[in-house]
Amino acid sequence: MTKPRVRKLFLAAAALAVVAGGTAFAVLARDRREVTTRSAEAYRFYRQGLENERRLYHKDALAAYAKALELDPHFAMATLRLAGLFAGRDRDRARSLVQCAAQSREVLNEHERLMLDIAEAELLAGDPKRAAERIRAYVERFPEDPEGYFRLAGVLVREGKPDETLATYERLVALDPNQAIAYNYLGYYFVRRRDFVKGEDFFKRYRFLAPDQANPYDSLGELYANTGRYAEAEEHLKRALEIKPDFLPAVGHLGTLEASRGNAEGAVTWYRRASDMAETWKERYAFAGAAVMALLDVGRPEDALALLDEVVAAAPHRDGKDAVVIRWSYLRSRAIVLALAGRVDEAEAELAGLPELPPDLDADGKMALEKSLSGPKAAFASARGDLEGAVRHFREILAAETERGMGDFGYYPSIFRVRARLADALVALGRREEAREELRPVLAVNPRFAPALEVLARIDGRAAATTGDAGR
Amino acid sequence: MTPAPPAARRRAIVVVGVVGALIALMSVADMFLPKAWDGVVPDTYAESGLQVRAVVRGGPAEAAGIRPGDTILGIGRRMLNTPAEAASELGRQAAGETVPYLIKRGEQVLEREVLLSPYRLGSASYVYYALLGGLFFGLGLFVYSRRAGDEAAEVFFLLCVLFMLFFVCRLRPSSYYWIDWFVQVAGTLALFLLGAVFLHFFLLFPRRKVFRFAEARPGEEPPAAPLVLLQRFLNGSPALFVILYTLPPAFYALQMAVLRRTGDRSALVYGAPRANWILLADYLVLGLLALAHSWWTAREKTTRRPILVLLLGTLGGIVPFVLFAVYFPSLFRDERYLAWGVVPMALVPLTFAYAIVRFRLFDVQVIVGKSIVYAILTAIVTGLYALAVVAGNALVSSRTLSPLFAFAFGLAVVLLVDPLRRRMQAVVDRVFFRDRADFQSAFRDISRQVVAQLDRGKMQQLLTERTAELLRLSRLDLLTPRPEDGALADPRRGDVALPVGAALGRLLVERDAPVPLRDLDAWALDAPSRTFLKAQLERGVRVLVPVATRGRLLGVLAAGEKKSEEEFHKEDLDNLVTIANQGALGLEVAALHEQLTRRAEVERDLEIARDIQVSLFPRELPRIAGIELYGISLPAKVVGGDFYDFLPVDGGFDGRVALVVGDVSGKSIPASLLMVAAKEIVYARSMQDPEPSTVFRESNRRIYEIKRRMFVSLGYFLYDPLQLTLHYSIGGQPLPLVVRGGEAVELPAPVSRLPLGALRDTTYDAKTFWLRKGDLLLFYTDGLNEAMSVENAYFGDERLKASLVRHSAAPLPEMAEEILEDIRQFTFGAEQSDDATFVLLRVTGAKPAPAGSV
Repeated sequence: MTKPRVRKLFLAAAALAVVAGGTAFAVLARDRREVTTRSAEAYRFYRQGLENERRLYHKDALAAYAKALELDPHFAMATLRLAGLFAGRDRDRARSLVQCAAQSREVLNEHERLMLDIAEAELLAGDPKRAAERIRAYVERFPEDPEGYFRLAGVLVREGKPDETLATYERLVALDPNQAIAYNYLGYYFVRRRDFVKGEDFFKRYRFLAPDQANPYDSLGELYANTGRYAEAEEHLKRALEIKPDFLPAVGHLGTLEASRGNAEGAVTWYRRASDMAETWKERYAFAGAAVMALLDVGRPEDALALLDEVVAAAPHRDGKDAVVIRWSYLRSRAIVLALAGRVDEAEAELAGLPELPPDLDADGKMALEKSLSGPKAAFASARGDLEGAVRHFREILAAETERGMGDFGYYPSIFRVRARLADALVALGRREEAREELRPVLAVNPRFAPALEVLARIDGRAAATTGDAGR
Repeated sequence: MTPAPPAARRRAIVVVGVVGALIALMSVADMFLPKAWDGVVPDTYAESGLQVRAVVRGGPAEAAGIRPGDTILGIGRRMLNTPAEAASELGRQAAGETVPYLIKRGEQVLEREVLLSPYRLGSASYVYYALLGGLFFGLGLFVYSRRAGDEAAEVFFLLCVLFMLFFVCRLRPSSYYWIDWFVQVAGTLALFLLGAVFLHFFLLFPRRKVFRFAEARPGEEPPAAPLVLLQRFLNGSPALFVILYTLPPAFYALQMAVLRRTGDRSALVYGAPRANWILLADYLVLGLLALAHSWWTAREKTTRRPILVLLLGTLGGIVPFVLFAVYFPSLFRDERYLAWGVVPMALVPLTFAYAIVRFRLFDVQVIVGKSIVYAILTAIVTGLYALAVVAGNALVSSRTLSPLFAFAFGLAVVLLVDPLRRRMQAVVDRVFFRDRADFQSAFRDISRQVVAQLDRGKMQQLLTERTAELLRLSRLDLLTPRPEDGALADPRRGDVALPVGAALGRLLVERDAPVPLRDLDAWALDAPSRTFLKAQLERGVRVLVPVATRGRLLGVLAAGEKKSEEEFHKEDLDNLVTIANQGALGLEVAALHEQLTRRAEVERDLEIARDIQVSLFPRELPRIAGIELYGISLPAKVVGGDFYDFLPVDGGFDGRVALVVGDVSGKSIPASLLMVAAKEIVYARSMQDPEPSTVFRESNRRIYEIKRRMFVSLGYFLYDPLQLTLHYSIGGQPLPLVVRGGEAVELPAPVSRLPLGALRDTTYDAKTFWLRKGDLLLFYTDGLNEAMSVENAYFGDERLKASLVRHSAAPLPEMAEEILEDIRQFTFGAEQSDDATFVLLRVTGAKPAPAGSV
């Protein structure tokens, strides 16, 4: 065979190889593409939304996804993400978004289809078990995708599997050590388990990776506020607000800080501001509840009642089960406030007017609501001077909290406050050592929790010299 | 364990050298390229995370509050797990930037702002370490390039590479860059292997160490079995080296396992286990002891001197190193004196380099150009001069001295410069060049003398005793062919000889190069060669060098081991080849000389023979009544086989004379001897009975018995003056010519004309020819008519007859000359091919002369 002929054959083979390689690459790349969209710009907004979501800037994330959908209305993943954001505030809209995304199922890649399956199970079917199965299948299929582990960790938390939850978060961090939000979850994991050192460790890692985000400062601020490191808490929470002035959790946690350090007036201010800033009624109600408790601390039950009425009046119109639950919770809260204001008869009347809980309410929810009646009962007993009864009901409240895990801090430090009230009742009964024991778990977490220190001072027969403010 | 084949081993060593050099270069480049630097020294042996081993004093990390023992979790808003990730992150930062560091100290997680500074990590001391490493590598490379294949040189090269890696890669701060990993691994490997290779080298060098502490001596009790086993293990077991090289990694693994269990990292010195440092020091000390032992046991002064120099230099380098760079940091955790230990290490390569130049260490010859050395010396002296002038000026300016002092001082310095330079040159000459020059001069001298020497005995002495002395060989024998059978043997000894045709002889001729006996596969040779080899080995011979020329084996040089007990190196073998070539030339010249001497003797003998032969011809021609005679014999060689004579018969009473013309087959000495014999036989027979046929018959029998296949052609002519007849027999001779009436004709031929000696029993007959007054007869041998021209044409009978007739009127002597002249003209330029003899006889008719006049 002559040399020129060999050269031609070689060139032809090389050209064929290049074409075949290019085709194969294109096919493989198509299968491996992350999301399906026709618009590069839409994809850019989608990435922006993801980043905002990771920063917990939900409003910004929502806007970014909405922009992405403007540019590509068939952008299924942007639609699903948007549905995820709406799930907590407007379930119907979330469902319709999922249905919208489902219309594009045929053109989606495997990753997107699995995500769609998960969303359908969660939002359309409302079947958490099925959703959990889908999430596990997703993790198995895409073991290198951090997204799966985020979701799986959420499932495991709900299922009450702390060890597996931790392993999942650790796997997540091992996959991508720079996945900032994972450290937030890890931090909360340890905080819930009362391992504040580790919790702080992970929050600091989170802050290190995302110093331009409000959430790490808020997480650390929350931790510090609940553990008596008030100066650091204030510094971090204010820093969070500097970064993002409308960062609602930081506002709420400033209320926590003030409540913990014994500045109930300050707490009321922050809680009310948070309530005013809240975008959803649910959030608004939560912050208003905290404000009500703080108002009671400062002895302003009328204001508390007014606030409660105001918030409930602003509740969106709901039907059926939700409306009943809201009404039930409202009346219970009114009963507590009235009892603590000394208007026991009115309080009992409110409690007597509690509606029947819907029969289709899930058992856990029903039990939790029923156990929450210990609050008003304790208030009634205190108001009537039945300290033994109050002690008994306070202990019921604490037992119920323990059953629920008792890990999470609320915006209002209600559990610590209950223990302080319990200890106060015990002191009044002359059971000082019992009172001291009741305070011990509070002071172990926050040695500067002002209401507890006040009771402790009474136990020791001295004035409450050491208050939260003294430490400022 | 099968040793690697030489080529594979060589390739592996080259790869090690290249990789080592590349890593060292990377390390040096890494140290001197400016980069953002935080002053953190990470612990590369940390099991996880990035642990701070140390912070550079005054560096950015120290300023930021980072402390040794901290764990760096993240740099520049990125989490890290390894130093490589840190390097990558720092690579993204620029010097002058403030970068956040997330560190963990105990249970605390802290964030620190580190102001990165532009920094070249390489300090002045690192420059020194790098130069020192380069010095080691350069030296090792030089030795290896000159002695590739030599085991000691290979180990030395590896040792130098490891020293380089140790200094360049081990004694440097971490830079965080990806290079760090390679550099640290190479440095750790160097730490592991350095001591073992050091000891290995001094077990091989200057000669392989042989332990003799458990040898049985006559009359003493045999040593204990464990001692014997230990000695055997140390001397021959490859397990010794396996253990030597396995211990460091085993120590490392063991101590790291303990560390992992206890968590106590205080046992780490510069990141490596303390046990490995101690082991390194132990190996180094053992290596020094091995070197000291070599010096102690060296027999020869010439061998002891270089070892002593090496010992002193190595001691000067290694002892401070062991003390300040190994023991202090290991045992007292005090690293302040590290430089004290490293700086003197330069003595080691410098001493080796000095020993190579001065004593041809490793048998590496370094020819340092005198001009370069002198130039350096001049520069040094000039520097000293400048220093002296500066010092003088300083002295003058600091004190109130006379201006004359400065002038006088300067003058003195100027005057001293040249003598100082000369003195230093003399020292350099003495130290570096004289020995070499002496050796070369002596070697040249021997070479010259070998060629010039014609006495074989003296040449043997030059080739063996003096050469052995010069090359420091325990013995050097010259085996030459025995006169009786040609077998190669030392003529001074009755050893086993190498027979002619033995396979070893052929192999030596084929290789035409020195053959170390250990490289020979004895079983591939024949039995005589094996016997010869065994005898040579028993005599301590190590190398055979053929003394051959043009494919002929003239002899063999058998060299014993070197007095230094080192292996034969290329240079030794080259020297032996040079001597062998000179010897071959010398032997050829001697043989030629002997041949010439013999030829001269033969020629002298021939001259004597010629004289004798000439004396056998008639001194003067006989005066015989009635005839004139004239005869000439011209031998083709110095002596010939022709003869003629005149024999008086019957006592000369009746005046009869026998003319004999003979020609013996062949030429030169044998022919002349036979001629003499034949002449005497014929003479004796004719005395008994002058009858030609009888003389022929009897002489034939006698000559036949003397020598077969040598014949004598003979003409026997009995002249009777009374009857004026010629009665004759002729055997193998041309028939005489007679000129009568202006015509030349042949005499009548007898029936039997066989030459004498051809057949044992032959009868001859005789003819009688009646002479007349005026007849001219020519009796001749075939050399006359068969004289050949350059065209190979015979002069021939006809030309001879014509010449005879033409000159027949001339007197006989003139006639003879004219005939010869005719022949000379015919054969012009051609060599005389045969003896030529002729006798002229002219019948005058005068009365016979008195008898006995012949």
